[in-house]
Amino acid sequence: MQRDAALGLPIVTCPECGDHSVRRRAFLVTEWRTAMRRRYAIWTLIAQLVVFNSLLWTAVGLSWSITEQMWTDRTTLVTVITDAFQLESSAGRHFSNVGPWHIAIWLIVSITAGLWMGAALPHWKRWAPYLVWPIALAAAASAPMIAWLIWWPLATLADRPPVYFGPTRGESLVMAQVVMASFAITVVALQAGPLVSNAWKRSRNRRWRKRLARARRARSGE
Amino acid sequence: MSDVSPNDRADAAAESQSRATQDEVRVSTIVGDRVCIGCGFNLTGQPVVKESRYGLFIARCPECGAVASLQEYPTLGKWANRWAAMAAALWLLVLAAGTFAFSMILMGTSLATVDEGLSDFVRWVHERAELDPESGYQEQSMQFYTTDVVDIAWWGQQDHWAMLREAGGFRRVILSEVVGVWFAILLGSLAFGVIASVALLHLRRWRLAFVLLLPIAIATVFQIAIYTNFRADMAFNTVAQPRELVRLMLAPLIFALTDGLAYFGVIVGSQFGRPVARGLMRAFLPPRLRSSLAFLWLADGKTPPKP
Repeated sequence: MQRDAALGLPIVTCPECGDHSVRRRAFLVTEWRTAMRRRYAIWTLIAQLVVFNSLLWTAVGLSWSITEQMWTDRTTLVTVITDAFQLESSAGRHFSNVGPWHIAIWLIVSITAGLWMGAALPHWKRWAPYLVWPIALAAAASAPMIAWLIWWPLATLADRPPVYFGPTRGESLVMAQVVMASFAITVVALQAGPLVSNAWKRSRNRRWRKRLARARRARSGE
Repeated sequence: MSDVSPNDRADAAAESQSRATQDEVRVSTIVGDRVCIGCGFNLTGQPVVKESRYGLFIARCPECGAVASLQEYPTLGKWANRWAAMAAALWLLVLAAGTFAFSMILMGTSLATVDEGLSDFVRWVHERAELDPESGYQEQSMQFYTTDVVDIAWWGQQDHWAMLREAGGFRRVILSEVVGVWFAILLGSLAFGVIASVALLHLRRWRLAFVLLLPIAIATVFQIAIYTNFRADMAFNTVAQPRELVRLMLAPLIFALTDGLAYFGVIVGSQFGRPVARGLMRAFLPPRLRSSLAFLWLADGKTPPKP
């Protein structure tokens, strides 16, 4: 057997007829590599879907809490945010009021969404996050209304009173303001996405170089 | 492999590509999944050329330049085939278990639908029988409880569908009770259809629709067995509970509607399953990773994603 220098293949030549052939790599090795690569791709997809849904539904869920407070108190988003960080006696605060943790998580989630789209989805077109994320936010925020739209013909068909359980028009308008504020924060964070991605790549390369250097030292017995 | 630096690899790719000279004759294109042994890149869609020196059929990886030979000595060991058979058997087992689990869920839900959907009508029949002196309505003592029974002969003389109309009709009395459960069945069936269309990649539209009848057929067999059991229980009785009589009358209809709805959901889900899976991959996976799942594109005769 000879390994051809140009092709890098283990060539076997028949001594009788002079025909050439290539020795086959172990079946298990090639299949294992394929399976591992597929597994990596599938787990990456699952992780991306989990992150996408977690960010989306957390942002929308917290936006709902803020909307309820704004709607009940007939106040603005800025007031709700500043009130949340006011120090008050426990008697002055209702248990359903939006607290500092609500606002902090809402801000963190909005920023993380921008960083994640900028860093983990580099194959997206430049305009895609500006279109996809607000549509996803709007769809998730309208989930009760969409559910009612699906339920309404079914209820009518089943001769049940199709009682409306979605938000009112006023609540929807307030919700739109909160969701748009969240999107504005996301857009700002989106610009920092590539920086985060590059920093992460640099850190990974540094770790990799260190590991290689350690392996080299161990081989040479230093 | 770990000794090769990225720069070396890039040089090798450039050198190898440049060596793909005019002597090499393009013969075909790789249509299946084939991972590059150098970098793991999926070579599907790459040209197959006849190499000039040895006359071998090869393909070059566009990423790292590694040459993949397409004519190879067969491996002599038996373990490769044994492992392949074992993997195939395991996959078949998973598919069978999934199908059976879906059938059992469908069968159980349809039974619950019968109980839930008929409760209002049973109550109505109960009241009707109580008022009719010919119904033979009486309390019967069982071992631990008492139950109300009516004459089966009286029930046989009634126009059952007229009774249902009088009670308020199918929509108001039955459908209004089960619409939520049926909606849940529809959603579950859609999800099963999506998963099945990805798991059964070798099947195209009509064959897939035909094969997906199997879980519904299994559920139907169990439903028929249960219904036969209902009938057998009452074969020699002269009296029965209104619940049993109504169940005997309407269970086949509710079973059929539940199964029909489930099949509709499965078919719709299976038609959209692969496009949905491909769309999710396009959206959330970078092209390099996407190419290792090219089989989803190849199964429908589409061009696989390129990096």
